[in-house]
Amino acid sequence: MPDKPHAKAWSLLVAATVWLVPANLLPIMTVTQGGRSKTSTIAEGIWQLFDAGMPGIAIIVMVASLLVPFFKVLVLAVVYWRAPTESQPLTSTRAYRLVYWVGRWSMLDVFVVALLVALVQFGNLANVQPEPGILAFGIAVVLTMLSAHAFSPNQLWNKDHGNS
Amino acid sequence: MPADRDVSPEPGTLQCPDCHTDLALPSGKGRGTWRCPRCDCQLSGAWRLKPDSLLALSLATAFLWVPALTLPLLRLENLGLDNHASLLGCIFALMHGLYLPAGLLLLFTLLIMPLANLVAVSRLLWAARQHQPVPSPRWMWVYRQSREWAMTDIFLLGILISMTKLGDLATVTPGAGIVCLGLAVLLRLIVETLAQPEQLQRLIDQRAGEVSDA
Repeated sequence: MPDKPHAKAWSLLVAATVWLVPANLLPIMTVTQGGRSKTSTIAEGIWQLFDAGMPGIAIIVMVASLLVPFFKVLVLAVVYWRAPTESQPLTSTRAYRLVYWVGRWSMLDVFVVALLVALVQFGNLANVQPEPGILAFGIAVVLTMLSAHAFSPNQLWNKDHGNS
Repeated sequence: MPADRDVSPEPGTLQCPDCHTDLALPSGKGRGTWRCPRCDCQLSGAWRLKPDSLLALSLATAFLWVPALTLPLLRLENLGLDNHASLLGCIFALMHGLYLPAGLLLLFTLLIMPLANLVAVSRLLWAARQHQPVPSPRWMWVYRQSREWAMTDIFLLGILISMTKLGDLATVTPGAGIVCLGLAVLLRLIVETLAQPEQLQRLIDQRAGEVSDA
């Protein structure tokens, strides 16, 4: 079970995991073009990019918005879980540092939606509206960042496991 | 990266912020990054920290910020109609109703934190330049936090992705704001890379110490 020093980091990580569910299931935006509206989730948006012949952009968005949030939650959970009895602190510290810096790139989709909403405002001809999924996604990203912030790599080195 | 302790336990030594190992400060002025031998934490960058040059870059970033915030980033044309959006416009686009928290998040990451980063690093570099101690440790705290939470670099990638996405919908023309924002982000990244917090703190302490000893 999580011990007290990591309770805050664990709580924030659990909250982030919960928010990741609506973030991925709810639509993030609605695009109206020529009177026809189309809502899309994060995964659908990525698929549309692949479909439109933009695999490079699709891969960037897929990594930043789909893979990184889950990867970060998974890596942080393993690091927190192992911290009290860590036998390989260097490996865990490196993994923590990696997800710490990579995690912020997940905000990419939030920025793309904000820009599209600000830019595409042509009434019924064409417009983009935000949907609740983007709010859930933004909250999930912030919570994972706060969780990583609540943990210090020093907690991996506190006890002498014979690795110094 | 959270750094809960950053004080030298003894003169000529430094405590690694990640694993709290006491390390002797390197004597030479050789190039190359200096890392903690125990946890591999980077303790100084590959280049010597030159406050004057970095202060000049920070000043240039400050001048670029106003047009980067207010000038159009992209212009969109669709069947004779046109629209444009600035960085401020993007921030306020979500600032209503249910999406207010998302708008506030954009305000925090695209406006407040980048400006806090600029002010904090300028204050710290000024202290190093003037051989003065920093009046409050909060400046370094703000600098550390803003390195993580200022996300204009990610927003810039978002602009490129939006341009590609909008290609089918309308004619997209880059505006002057994107040039200013791109340059401001580039300068910020250069300053952040060269002004590593641990290295900057040591320089400030060292220079302030030299003055008080004299």
